[in-house]
Amino acid sequence: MEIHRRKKIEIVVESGMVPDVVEWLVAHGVKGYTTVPKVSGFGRQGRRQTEEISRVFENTLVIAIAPEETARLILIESVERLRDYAAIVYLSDVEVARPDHF
Amino acid sequence: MGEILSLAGANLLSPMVLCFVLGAVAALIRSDLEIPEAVAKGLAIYLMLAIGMKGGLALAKTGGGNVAASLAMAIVLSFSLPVLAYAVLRAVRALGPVDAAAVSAHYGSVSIVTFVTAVEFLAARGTPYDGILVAMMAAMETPAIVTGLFLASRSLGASAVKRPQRRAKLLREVLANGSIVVLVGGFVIGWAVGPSGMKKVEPFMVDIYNGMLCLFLLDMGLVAMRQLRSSHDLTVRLIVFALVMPLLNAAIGFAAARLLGFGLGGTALLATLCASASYIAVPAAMRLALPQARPGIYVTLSLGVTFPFNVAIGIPLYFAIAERLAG
Repeated sequence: MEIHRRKKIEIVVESGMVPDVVEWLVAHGVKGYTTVPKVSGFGRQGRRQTEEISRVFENTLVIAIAPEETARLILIESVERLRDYAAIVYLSDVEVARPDHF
Repeated sequence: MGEILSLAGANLLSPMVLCFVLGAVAALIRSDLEIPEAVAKGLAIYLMLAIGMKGGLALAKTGGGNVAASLAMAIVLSFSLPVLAYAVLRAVRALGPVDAAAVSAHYGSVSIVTFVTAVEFLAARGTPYDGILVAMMAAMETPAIVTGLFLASRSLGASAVKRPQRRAKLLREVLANGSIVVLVGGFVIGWAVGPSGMKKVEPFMVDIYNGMLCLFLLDMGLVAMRQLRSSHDLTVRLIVFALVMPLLNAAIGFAAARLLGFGLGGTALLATLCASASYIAVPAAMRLALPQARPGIYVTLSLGVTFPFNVAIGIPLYFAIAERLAG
C-alpha cells in the first residue's frame, strides 16, 4: 500500500472562534476537520477552563489534514487572523493512506 | 434605613439566596462540588421558559397597556446606559478606552438570573408586576453591545473593531441565542394560553420553580466565586465601580419606571434590570467583536462582583426604594 505525506494542522482556539476557523479552513480547500470541544489548559492568556458560564475562557481543538502548501499558507495567515484571540496553531508531518480525502 | 436592613436580612435568609451563598462558600473552600454542565444548562432552559411564561401570563391578565412605549424605553435604556458606565470608568481612570467600552456594554445589558431572583423576591411578598418586564428584559440584552462597540471604535478606529460581515453574524448570533429564544417563546406561549392554559403546566412551571431556582443559584454561587478567585486583573477602583454602577443605573431605572407609570413591582424590576450586568451574552459577543479587551476584567466585574451584590443587597434595596417612590 502506498503511503502519502500530508501536514496535520492543529488549532487550539477559543470556542467562540470555531465557526470562523472552520470557515477559513474550508475556504482554503481543506476537505474535512475534527473538533474536540472543551479542552482546558494554561498559556499566555492564563488558565483556559471548561466549566465556565460565559464560555469566553473555553478552548476547542480543531484538527485538519491538508497538503503541505495549503497547511503552510494557513499557518502564515493564522498570525494575523488569530492575533487577538487565544489560539495555538502548529503543523506536524503525518502519513495517510487515502490521499484523495485530504 | 431600618426597613431596608430588615428587607435585606429577609432576602439573605431566603432559601434561594442561601443556596447562592452555599455555592460561593463551596468555591471559597475549594470544594469539589460541581453541578454537571448538562444539568446547569437544563435548569437554565427551564428557568427561562418558566419566567417567560409567567411574564406572558401576567401580560395576558393585565392587558396590553403601554407595550410599545415599554419596549421602546427598554431599547433606549440599553443603548444609553453604557455611555454612563463608560464615562464613569474613563473619568476615574479605572480602565483604558477599549476595556472601558467592553465593560460598559455589560452594564447596559442585563442579567436574566438577577431578574429571575428579583421576580421571586416580589412573589415572596405577594407583589404583582407588569408582565411586559419580561419582554423588556429580552429587548435590553442586545442594544448595549452596539453601543459598547461604537465606544470602542472611537478609540480603535472602526476597522479594528469588526469586519462588517462578522458584525452582522455576531448580532444574529446574539439575537438568536438560546436564552432569548426560550424566554421570548415562553412569553408568547404564556400570553397566548392565558390562565386556563397555564393551569395545565402549573405543577411543573410554577409549583417546583423555587426549588429549581435553589439548584440554579447554588451553581451560580459556585461559578461567581470561582470567577472572582481566578481573576488577577481587578483593582479596588474597579470593584468600587462594580458596586456603585448598579446604583446609578437603578436610579435611571426608577426614573424610566415613573415615566412608564409602573406600579411597585414593575418599578423594582425595571430598576433591577438596569442595575444588572450581563455575564453570558455580552462576554461572548465582546470576545468575538472586541478581542483586544480583557475578559478577565469584564466577566469578573459583572459575574463576580455586581451579580452577587444585586442578589444579596441590590434587589431588596431597589424594592425598598420603589416602595418609597410608590408612596
